[in-house]
Amino acid sequence: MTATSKPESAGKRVQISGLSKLYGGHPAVDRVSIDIAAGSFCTILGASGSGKTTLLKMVAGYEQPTEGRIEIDGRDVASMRVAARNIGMVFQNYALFPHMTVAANLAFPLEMRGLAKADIVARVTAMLELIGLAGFGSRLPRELSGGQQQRVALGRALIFEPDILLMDEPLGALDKNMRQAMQREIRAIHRKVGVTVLYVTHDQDEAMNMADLVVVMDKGRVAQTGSPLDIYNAPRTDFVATFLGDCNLIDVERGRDGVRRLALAGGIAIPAGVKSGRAEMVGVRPERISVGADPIQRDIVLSGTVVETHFNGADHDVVVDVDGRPVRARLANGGQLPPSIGNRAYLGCDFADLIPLEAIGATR
Amino acid sequence: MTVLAGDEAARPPPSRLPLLPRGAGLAAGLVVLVFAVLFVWPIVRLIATTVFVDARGWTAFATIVSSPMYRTAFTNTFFISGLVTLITLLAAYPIAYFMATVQPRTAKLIAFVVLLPFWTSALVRTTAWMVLLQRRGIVNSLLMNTGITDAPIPLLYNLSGVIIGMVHVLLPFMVLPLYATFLSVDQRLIAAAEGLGAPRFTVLRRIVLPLTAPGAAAGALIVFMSAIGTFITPVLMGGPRQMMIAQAISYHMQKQLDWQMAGALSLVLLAVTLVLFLVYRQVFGLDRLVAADAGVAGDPDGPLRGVLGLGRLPAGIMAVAVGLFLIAPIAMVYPLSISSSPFLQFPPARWTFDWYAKLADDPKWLRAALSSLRVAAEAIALSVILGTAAAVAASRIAPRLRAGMEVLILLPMVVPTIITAIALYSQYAPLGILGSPESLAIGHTILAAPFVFITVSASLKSFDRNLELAALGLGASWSAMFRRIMLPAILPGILAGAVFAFITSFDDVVLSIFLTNSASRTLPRVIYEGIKDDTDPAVVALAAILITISFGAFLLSLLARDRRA
Repeated sequence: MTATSKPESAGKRVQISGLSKLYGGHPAVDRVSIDIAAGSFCTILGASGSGKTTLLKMVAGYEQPTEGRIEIDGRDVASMRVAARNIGMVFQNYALFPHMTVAANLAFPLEMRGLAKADIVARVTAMLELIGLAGFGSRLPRELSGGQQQRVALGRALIFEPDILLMDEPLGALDKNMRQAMQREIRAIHRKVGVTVLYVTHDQDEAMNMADLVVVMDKGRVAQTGSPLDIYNAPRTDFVATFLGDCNLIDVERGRDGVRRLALAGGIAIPAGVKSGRAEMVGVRPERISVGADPIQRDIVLSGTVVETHFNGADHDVVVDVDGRPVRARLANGGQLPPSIGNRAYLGCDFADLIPLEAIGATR
Repeated sequence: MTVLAGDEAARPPPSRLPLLPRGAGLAAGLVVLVFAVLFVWPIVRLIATTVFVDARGWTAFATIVSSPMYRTAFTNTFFISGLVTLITLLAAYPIAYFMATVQPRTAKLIAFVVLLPFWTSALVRTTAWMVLLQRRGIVNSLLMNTGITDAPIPLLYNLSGVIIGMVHVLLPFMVLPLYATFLSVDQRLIAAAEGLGAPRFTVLRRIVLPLTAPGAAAGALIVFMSAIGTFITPVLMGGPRQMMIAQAISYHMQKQLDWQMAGALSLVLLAVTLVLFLVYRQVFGLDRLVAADAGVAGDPDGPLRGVLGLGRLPAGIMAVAVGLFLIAPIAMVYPLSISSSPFLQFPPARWTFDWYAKLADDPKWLRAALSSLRVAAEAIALSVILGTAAAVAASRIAPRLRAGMEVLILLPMVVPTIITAIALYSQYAPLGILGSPESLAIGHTILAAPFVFITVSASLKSFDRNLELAALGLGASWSAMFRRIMLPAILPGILAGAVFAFITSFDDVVLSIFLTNSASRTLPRVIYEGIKDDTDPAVVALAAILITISFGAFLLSLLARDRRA
């Protein structure tokens, strides 16, 4: 049995509950609770200083939690030695042993576990195959490209069939094309191996397109947990709404007549049946807003002067000044051009496009 | 698209391993204990049991102040050390400046020459100078042949002898920090000053000198600190009027058997040295000391290149002159060793290998060489273990503890060797282990461990901490991680340290004089006895052999350095 042919060795469930880490009284990680299903791919998304790396190091065993529990398949590992946790880790700078060949790097964890020589050789060969580096076994790490080194680091972390794979911004050093290729590759390997993955990143696109579960962290706390679709379509706070993707934030005011209004264009009354009407703030994703030179048939129609346009390739961003407030709309690049700067433009969206938000402080 | 969250203050401090500090603390504690027992305790005990044994203890200090002999010794010490510091400063500035203006390759070559005296034994260098400077030596015959003087000038056994010898050995300690400072001068500042209309000499005076002053001060402090503890050079190359404190200590101990006076003098010398060391640490930090001793500076691109159009020629001429001063005595040993003249005249009447044959005939040389090698082997093994353990432990403990540990471990480099020597002597004599090669090996271990500590610490600095974390995470125990991952990474540092340890042990005279007997005496001690009163030509042949060995060790350390880089 080799590492490649046993996707049934699915990863273990990871439950983190009430986990905190204090540095000199200041919490770097603050009462974090996450439940990660066995075999799923979980990304931890946050800006630098959000505590995401500290969280990962506590799971790995390189940091001692101040309080809280980390359970892997039901057993608490918080005070367990690093090696005893059976966790694979991919470091940001790969941490490949520079004086050992690729094969020796891959063999290292197996040797430490006292496997037989023949078994080690077989597993190393299989792993080289899996990570697409067959024939590279006798190279030294420095003789490989960044992407290849990344694959070796991944292979080394997987070869001993860990219950959990931890990855700390593993693609940070690669250029954009290589990043995307590696993202696909890591996903494919994850599907084959079935290990539970905790993947730390500050890149929202990466977090969304790789994960089954996204954990957004802010100032040491979990801001929101959910599937990428949930988090993007139904962010709970203005922070999450703006941290993942772009979002127009609009305050909701309650008039003296009891009617709730969007603080936009002199106040747009929200009909009683709209559930988002009870929030203090709503968000609208730019791609949900149609934009054109002529009036549009939608629940909410606004007009204003175009102040900015950006062409992103797949779409155009159009910023329209509506009574002194910029509103961003996104027009798919379907051949038709948006109104140009200085011209009048009409914007439209439906009440269903409004996302109710709790205002805790947007990221911009 | 990514936006940074506002609160950057939440960034955690550098992580520490949960499982290692305990082990690191234990190792650090052990190292500290070894240093305390083998080095600090003998010195404390020496002073405690010699000076303050009776009421007369305090009067010893009054005697030091009132007696003209001691006053002269102190005046000599500070005068000679000050003069040596001044001369090295004046000689080092043009060299360091020149090194910073030439290509890195040339700078490396100059650094090599500057370091040469550091790598050759004090005794061998002194022997060479004594041969060159004697009445009928090369220098005097040159002066007379060119008609500069009619009669030979006394260059030896007086102030000039001491100054020449000491400048020769201490110059590297001035050049290296100064060169490092020159390299750190921002080239754009000079370009800016020139752009603002400053003529070149003004640039030198107003920009370069002030910016390099800290390096000069650091070098001066090191040179002065080393100079006041000098023992061998004034004994061999000076006259009675150049007696310095170290010599006075040895005189009281060996000739007068007045331990109380020797202890009191040691305490004063020790106090002055420690104050200078602590000032240095406070002002410049120990990192610079480490850099100065770790040898040839890196390979930046001569940053001051082309700045000094006019001054470069005189600076270059000065550099060549100083280079000759540094190499000549060492290089001259080879032709002199095959000269037929028993007075070591040059050029000799004919060439001969008689002196080498004499070395082979007399068994005392071989016996001493074997004794030296045995002691060196033991000292290398012990100091490599001790220094490496100290460096690894120091890199894993809290910064405040580390600072204290660094001071303790570097102390043997700073404390005048004569004090270490008599302290160990007084410690070992009652235990009955005096004269055994092992007692000398322990002394050498203490002297050499700081070098190993420095070189291993340097290689640990470039060791990626994540490799250690990765290995532990992949299932390695700490010892397996050390053997498989850390050791290969720091091996060049350990090898360089081992070379330093070999040189330290193999070249040491002072400890050998005090800690060996006629059966266990080492080569340097035999040479010392051979040249103290009269120069035995066989010693020059031996010097040639020893220089060759040191030279080989030096090249080995360069290789180790290249592997590290």
